[in-house]
Amino acid sequence: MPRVVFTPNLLRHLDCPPTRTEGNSVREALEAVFVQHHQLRGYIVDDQSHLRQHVNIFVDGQPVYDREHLSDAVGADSEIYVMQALSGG
Amino acid sequence: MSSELERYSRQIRFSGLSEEGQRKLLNSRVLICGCGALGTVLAETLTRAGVGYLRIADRDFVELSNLQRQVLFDEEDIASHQPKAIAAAEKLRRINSEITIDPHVVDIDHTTIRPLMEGIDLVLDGTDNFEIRFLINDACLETGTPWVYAGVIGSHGQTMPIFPHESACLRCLIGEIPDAGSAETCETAGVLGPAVNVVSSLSAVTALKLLSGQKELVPLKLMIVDVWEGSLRSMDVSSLRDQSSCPACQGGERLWLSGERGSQSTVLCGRNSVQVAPPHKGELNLPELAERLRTAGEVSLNRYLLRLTLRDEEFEITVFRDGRAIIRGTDELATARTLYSRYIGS
Repeated sequence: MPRVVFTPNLLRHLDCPPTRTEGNSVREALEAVFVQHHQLRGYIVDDQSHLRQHVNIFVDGQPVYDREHLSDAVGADSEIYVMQALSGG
Repeated sequence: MSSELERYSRQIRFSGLSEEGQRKLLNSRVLICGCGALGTVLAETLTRAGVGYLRIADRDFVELSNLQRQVLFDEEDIASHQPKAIAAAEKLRRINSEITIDPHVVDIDHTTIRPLMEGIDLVLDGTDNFEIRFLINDACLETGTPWVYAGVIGSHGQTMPIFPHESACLRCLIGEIPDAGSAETCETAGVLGPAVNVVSSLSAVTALKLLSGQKELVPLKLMIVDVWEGSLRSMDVSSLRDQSSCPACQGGERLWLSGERGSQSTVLCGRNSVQVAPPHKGELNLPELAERLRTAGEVSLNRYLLRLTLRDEEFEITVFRDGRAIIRGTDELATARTLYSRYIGS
């Protein structure tokens, strides 16, 4: 099962530890996580379920191609990393 | 080795750099945008390494809460109300008097960034907000100047090299600035000095490779580090530009450099207050923002606005649902923008 990891700056206010979940695509894996952690949805996708502009996702270190449908395939051992840029410095 | 190079002898002996690389460093010119946590570490590292010319731009002054991580400052700088760029320059000149340090006390915006970038080989990100980063991105795309993005919050940080029109730019990575109030800042989530040091050091290594003429050694990676967790991730961004349809680096859009985007700030005459508007309108989640700000001071809230009275400073910040804020206790635009970035976000 792929592992979904969220950027640490989301973790501070939301319950979203690294999670192993079912899914053959980024969309399927995220939807499975959203079922358990519904608050996450609004931070990751917009009201049309497209990836939010200030968020990016990497699968096994490669950026996803399909930001609208999140159809990029994931393998059983894949890491899906959800990143947000950081403002501080 | 000539005597002028003696102070750099240990890094010259490093085979990756050598005397030839050192001479290129000495002939290089770098702009560091922002001289806070990231900026001070970058400035000190490049000064010690012998980068020949450092231009340092910052709008802020030194405060007590800076000293935990901003390595060039001390208590005397606070007592003397020193601007950060000036205080940093004094320290850096004591470290290396053989290079040129050019400090600018300036609010970096679309009117000031072009002159700051004149004659510059590389721009390094030492800022603390998205707005200036997107402005740097525009300006570097326009001038073809390479730059290194960096950001840090808590124990977590990121850095990525950007070669205009060759590799992914910042807007290829993130298309938009997060809505005001939706992203953490160092004021709300805190920041650890070691996280700053690691991220700055990764950026500095990129700078040393580039400035010593070894661009081919710079990997097109977004490095993501968390010093508390003990993790370091390396994300491949070599294909990101081609797959992003970026309006900035492929479409030529320069929203921040043209001034079309960017905070609008206005002094409210006779009120010792400044109004700051976010770069774009959005609906703030005020209760969520209130939760995040409770550690910073006294927070009150109604349907229409949130009011924060800072615990340690004599400012009061009133934030409206559309992201607009009135900051009482100053009539300085730069101070108001700094407070807005710190507590509300970029």
